[in-house]
Amino acid sequence: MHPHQLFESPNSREIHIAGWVITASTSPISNAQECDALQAALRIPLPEMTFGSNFLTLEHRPSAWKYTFTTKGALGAVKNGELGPGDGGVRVGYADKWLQSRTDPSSQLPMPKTVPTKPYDWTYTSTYTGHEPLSDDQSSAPQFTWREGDKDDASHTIPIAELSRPDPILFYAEIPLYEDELHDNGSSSLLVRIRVMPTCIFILSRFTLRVDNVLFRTFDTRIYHSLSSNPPRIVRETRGWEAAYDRVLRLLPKRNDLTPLTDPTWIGKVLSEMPRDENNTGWRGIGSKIEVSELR
Amino acid sequence: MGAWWGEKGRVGLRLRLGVLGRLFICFRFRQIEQLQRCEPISEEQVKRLCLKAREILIEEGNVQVVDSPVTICGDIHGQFFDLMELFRVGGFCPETNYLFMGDFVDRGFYSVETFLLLLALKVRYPERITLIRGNHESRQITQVYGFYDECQRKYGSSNVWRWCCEVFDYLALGAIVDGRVFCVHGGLSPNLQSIDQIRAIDRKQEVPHDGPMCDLLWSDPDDIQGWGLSPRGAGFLFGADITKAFAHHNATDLIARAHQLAMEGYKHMFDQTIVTVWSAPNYCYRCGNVASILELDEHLGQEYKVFSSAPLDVRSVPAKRPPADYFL
Amino acid sequence: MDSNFPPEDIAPIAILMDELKSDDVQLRLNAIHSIPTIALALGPDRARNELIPFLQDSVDDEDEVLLALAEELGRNFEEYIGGREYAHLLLGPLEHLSAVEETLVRDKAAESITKVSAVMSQAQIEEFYIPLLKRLSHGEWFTSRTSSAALYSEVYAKVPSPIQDELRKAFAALGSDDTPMVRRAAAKWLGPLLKHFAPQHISTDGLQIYRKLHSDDQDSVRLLTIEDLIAIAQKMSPAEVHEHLLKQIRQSIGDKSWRVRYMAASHFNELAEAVGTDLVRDELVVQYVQLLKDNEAEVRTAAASQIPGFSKLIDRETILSRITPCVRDLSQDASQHVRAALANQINGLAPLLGKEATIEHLLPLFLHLLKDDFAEVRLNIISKIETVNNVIGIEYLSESLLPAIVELAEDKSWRVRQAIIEYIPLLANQLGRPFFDEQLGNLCMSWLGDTVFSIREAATVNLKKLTEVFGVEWARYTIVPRVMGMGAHPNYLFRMTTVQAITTISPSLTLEIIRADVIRPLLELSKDPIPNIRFNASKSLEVLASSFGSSSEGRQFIQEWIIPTLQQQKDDQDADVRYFANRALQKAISVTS
Repeated sequence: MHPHQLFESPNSREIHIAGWVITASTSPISNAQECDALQAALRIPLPEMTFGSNFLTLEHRPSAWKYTFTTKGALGAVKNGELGPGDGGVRVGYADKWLQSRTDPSSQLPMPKTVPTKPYDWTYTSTYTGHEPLSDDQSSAPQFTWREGDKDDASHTIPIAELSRPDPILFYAEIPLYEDELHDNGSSSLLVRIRVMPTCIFILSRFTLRVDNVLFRTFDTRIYHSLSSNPPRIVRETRGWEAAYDRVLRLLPKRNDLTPLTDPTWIGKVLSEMPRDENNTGWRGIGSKIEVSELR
Repeated sequence: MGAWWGEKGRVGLRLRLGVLGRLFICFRFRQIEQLQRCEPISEEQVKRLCLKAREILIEEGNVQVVDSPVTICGDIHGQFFDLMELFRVGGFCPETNYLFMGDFVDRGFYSVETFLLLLALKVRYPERITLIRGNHESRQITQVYGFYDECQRKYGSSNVWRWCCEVFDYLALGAIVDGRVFCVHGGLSPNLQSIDQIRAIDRKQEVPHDGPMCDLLWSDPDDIQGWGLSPRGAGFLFGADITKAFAHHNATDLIARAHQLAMEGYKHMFDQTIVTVWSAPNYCYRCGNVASILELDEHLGQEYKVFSSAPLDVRSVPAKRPPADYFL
Repeated sequence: MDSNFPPEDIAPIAILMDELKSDDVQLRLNAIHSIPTIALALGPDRARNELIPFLQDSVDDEDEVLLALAEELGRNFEEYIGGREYAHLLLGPLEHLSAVEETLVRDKAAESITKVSAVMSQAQIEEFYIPLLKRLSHGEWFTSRTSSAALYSEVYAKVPSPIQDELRKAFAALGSDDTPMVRRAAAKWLGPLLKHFAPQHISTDGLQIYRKLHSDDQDSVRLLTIEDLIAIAQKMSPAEVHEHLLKQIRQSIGDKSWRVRYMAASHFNELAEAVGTDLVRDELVVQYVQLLKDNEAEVRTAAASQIPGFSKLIDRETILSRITPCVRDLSQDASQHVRAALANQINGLAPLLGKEATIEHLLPLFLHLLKDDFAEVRLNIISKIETVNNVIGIEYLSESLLPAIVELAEDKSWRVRQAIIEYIPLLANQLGRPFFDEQLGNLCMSWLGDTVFSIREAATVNLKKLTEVFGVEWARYTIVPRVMGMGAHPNYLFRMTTVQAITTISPSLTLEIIRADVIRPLLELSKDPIPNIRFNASKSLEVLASSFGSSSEGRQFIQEWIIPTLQQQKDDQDADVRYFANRALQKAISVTS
C-alpha cells in the first residue's frame, strides 16, 4: 500500500500519495465582488449559487501533469449567445402559453415594447470534462495528449469491480461548482466528487438538469487512474443522456412522491438505464466517449 | 456544537412559543428522539388557525398600508430555526413590527412550523405583522419544492397543505410603508404603472402563469434599459429607467423586494432605488451566505441587520463534511 | 379514544376492511389507529378469532400504514383480546411485520415484540416467543434475520439454561451471516445481550461472537463493535481484559477506517472506565495520544471531547507529560472544528492541574484560543471560563484576560458578545466597584445601544444583576440617569430599550428612585407616537404595580400615577395598547383594592 499524508485547512483538504498531490477546495458561494469579476470574464449571468472559489486539482509530480476542475472552466463551457443546433436549447414548460397570452390578437395584456436581453443557455448545460491548466511557461511544459480508448484493452476501461470493492477510502471530497434553481422551473447543478483508494484515484463530475415538465439531462465525466499503472495512465470517460420529463416521471417508485426528481444520483441511474429517446433536442452531449492519456 | 447555547436556545424557543401557546400554536414534545425538534400543531388547530387568518386577510388590501417603524424581511424558505435567529436579532413580535415579503415555505425542513408560526402571529397581532405573497405561496410550486411533501409527512394527509394554500390566496400582493417604500416579492409589471392599478387586481386565486399578478411575484431587476424578456421563455426583467419611473409616478423612495439570493444578505441596484432583501442564511443549508433584515425607523431611516444561521439548526442538517460515499 | 364505530348494528371487521381498501392513505391510517376501538366493539373472543387473523393475513399496505399497525400492536393490545394469557397471539401479525423491507417498520415491530414479551409468562415465552425467534433468525430473507437480532436480549435472562445455550448459538450465527446488514444488527445488539450473559459465557461464546464481528471486513460492522467491547470489558476483571481484549482494543483504535477510530475516540472514556486503572496507565494513554494526533479531523474532534474525562483517570504527572503537549498542538490545529471541540473541554483540565500548572500551561492557550478566527472557538472558551476562575482566582484571570474580554465585548459575533455579558456580573463581584466602574462601566452602557435585540435585552438583565451586586444607590447614580436619558432619543429603538430596561430593573430599585427619576419619563413614553412603545410602557406600569403594591405608600403611588395613566391608555386607538393597558389596569386595581 502506498503511504499517504493528509493536510487540512478551513477551506481545503489535500492528499499526497504515490507522487500525486490532490487538492479539494470548498468555500461558500461567491460574494458580490467575486461574482462581478467572474461575470465580467464569462459575460453571462451567473447561476444563483456560484461556488466561484471551489476547485479540484490533481498534480502528478513525476510527470508534471496537472488537471483541474474549476467553476470558471465549467461555466465557460455554457453556451453564450443565441442557441443553435446541437446546443439543446429549451424553454420553460409554460413558455408557449405565456407568450400566447401576450401576443394573441385578443390579449388584454399586449406585450410591452421590449429590449433584447442577452442570449445564453439559461439551463447552464455544460459538457465540461475538467481541463489541463495552462502553465506559466508554455514552452517547457510537457505535452500530453488524449487518444481514443481501445475497446478491447481492459486497461482502457473504468474497472467497476475494483471500484465496487469496499476498500478504505483514504480521501473523499464533494466539490459543488454551481447550482441554479432556474427560477423555480427545475434545477441545474454541477458536482465533482473524488475518492482516493489504496489502489486508485476516481473522480466523477456530474452535470444534472431538470426542467419541470420539459426534460432531464445529465453529463458525467469519470476519471480513473490505477496507482499501479506503468506508465501512469489516466482513463477519462464521458457520457451524456437526455429524456423527456414524462418518461422519467413514470419511473418514480411512488407516484405521489416527487422527491427522487431532485436526487442527481437517482436521475443519473434512471437515465443511464433507459432506452435512448430518439425524440431528443439534438444536444451534442448525448452519447459516450472513452479516452486515455499516458503520463510519460 | 456546544450544547451550551443549543440548550438555552431550545428553552428560549419553548418559552417564546409557550406565550403563543395560549393563542393557537403549541409545540408538543412527543417522544425522546423528537425532543430534538419542534412538533407541529394538530390538524384541527391548523384548520381553525387558517380559517381565522382568512377572516383577517380578506379585509386587507392588495397593497397593504403599513406604518413605520417596521422591519422588512425577505425569503425564509422553511428555515424555522433561522427565523428564530432573525427574531433574536430584530426583536420578537409584537415588540417589533414585521413585514415579510413572501416565500415562507419550501426548500427548508420546517415549512409547516415556519408558516404556522407567522400565521399565528398574524392572527394574534394583525397590526404588528404583515405577510405578503411570494411565488412559493402557490399550489403548483409547493408540490414540487417541498411544502406539500412536508405536510404529507408530518400530518399523513394533504389537508394541512390544502388549508394553507387557501390562506395563500388571500395574502396581500404588496405593501406600502408610510406611502414611501413599496414592498413586493418579485418586482414590477409592464401592465402596472401605479400602485392603484395593483389595488384593482382580483388577487384571491392561485398565482397565474401570466399577467400582472404573476409579474409582481416573479419578475427581476436587471441591468438593462426598459423591459426585457427572460431567456427562459416566460417572465420579465426590468431596468433602472422602469424602476425610477415607477418611483416617480407613485412618489415612492424605495422598492424593497426579495426573491433572489444575495450573498451579503441584501443588494442595492439602480442608485439605491431598489433593494433585494434575503433572510434565509446558509440557504438550503449549504450556500454559506449571510441573511439580512431591513429596519425602517419612524423616520424611514434604513438599517440593514446582517445575521448568520442559527447554531441550533446545525444538528438537523447534513454534517459539515459529506460522509464518504462509494460513488461509481 | 373517539369511536367512529358504534358497537351496535355494524359488522366492525367489514368496516375496517372497507376503510383499509380506501384510496386515501389517511383513511387507511385512521382505520389502523382505530383497531383498539374495533377490538373493544367485538369483545375479546371475536377480537382474537376474527380481528387478529385478519390483521395477520390481510394487511399489506404502504409502509406508513404498516408502521402504524406495528405501533398499535405494541400498545398493550393484549388487553383487548382477553389479557396477557393471550398476548402471544399478537406475535403472529408482528412476525409478519418484522420481515418487511422498510427498516422503520421492522424496528417498530421488533420493539412491539419485546413489549409483548414483557407481559408473557415463562411458558408462553418458551412455547411461542422462542420458536418465533428461531424462525426469524433462520429466515430466508435478510430482513427477518436482521430484525431477530433485536429480540434476544429481552428474553435471554427469562429462559432456562438449555434454551440459553441455543440462543447463544443462534446469535453467533447472526454474527457470521453472509449479509452485512445482519452482521450490523448483531453488532448493534450484542452489547445489550452480553449484559445478561453468565461470566463463563462472556469469556467463551460472548468473546467469540465479538471477535468475529470485530474482525469483519466491513467498517460499518466494525464500528458498531466498540460498544460491544465496552460491554464485555465491563463484565470482566482487569486481568481478563488484559488477557482477552488487549489485541482488539489496539486494533480498533488503530483501525484503517477512520469511522471505526472515530467511534473508539468518541467512546474513549467509557472504554477507559471499563478496563481498569492499570491498563489505562500502561496501554490506553499511548492509544489516546495516538487518537489526539490522528490524521482525520473528525477523529481528533471526537478525541478532544474526551480530554477532561480521560484525564480524570490518570495522575497529574501523566497529564502534564503526555496530554498537555497534545492539547498545545490541538490549539493550533488546522481544523476549526477540532479547535472548537478543544475549547469546549480544555477548561476541565484546570481543576485537575491545579493553580500553578494551569497558569503555566493552560492560560497561554486560553489567550491564544480567545483570538481564534472562528467565533465558536472564542465562545466556547468564554462560556466556560468560570471553572478556570475557580482554580486560579479572579485576580489572575482578570489581569491576564481583561484586555481580551474588553476586545471580545465588541466582537462581531453577537453570541460572543452575549457570552461576555453573561460573565460580567461575576467579574463585577470579584473586581469591586471602583475598578469595575473604571474598566467596564462604559462597556455595560454601550451594549444598551447594540444593533442586535438579544444583546440589548441581555444588557438590561446585566444592569439588573449589577444593581444587585453594587446596590441601589450605585444604580441610582450610575445606571438610572443613562437609561432614562435614552428615553428621549429620536430613534424609537433607543426609547424602546429604555422602556424595557425599566421593566427589567425596577423590581430591584426602590419606590423613592422610581418616584423621583423613573415615573415621569415613563409616563411620557406611555404617550409616545409609536404604539409599540406605548404598550411596552403599559407592561412597565404593570411590573411597577406588582412590585410596589405591598406597602401603603406604594399603593398610594399606584393610585396617583399608574392607574390614571392606564385608564387613558385603555382607550388608545391601537388594539394592542388597549389590550396590554387593560391587563395592567386589572393588575393595578387588584393590588390596590
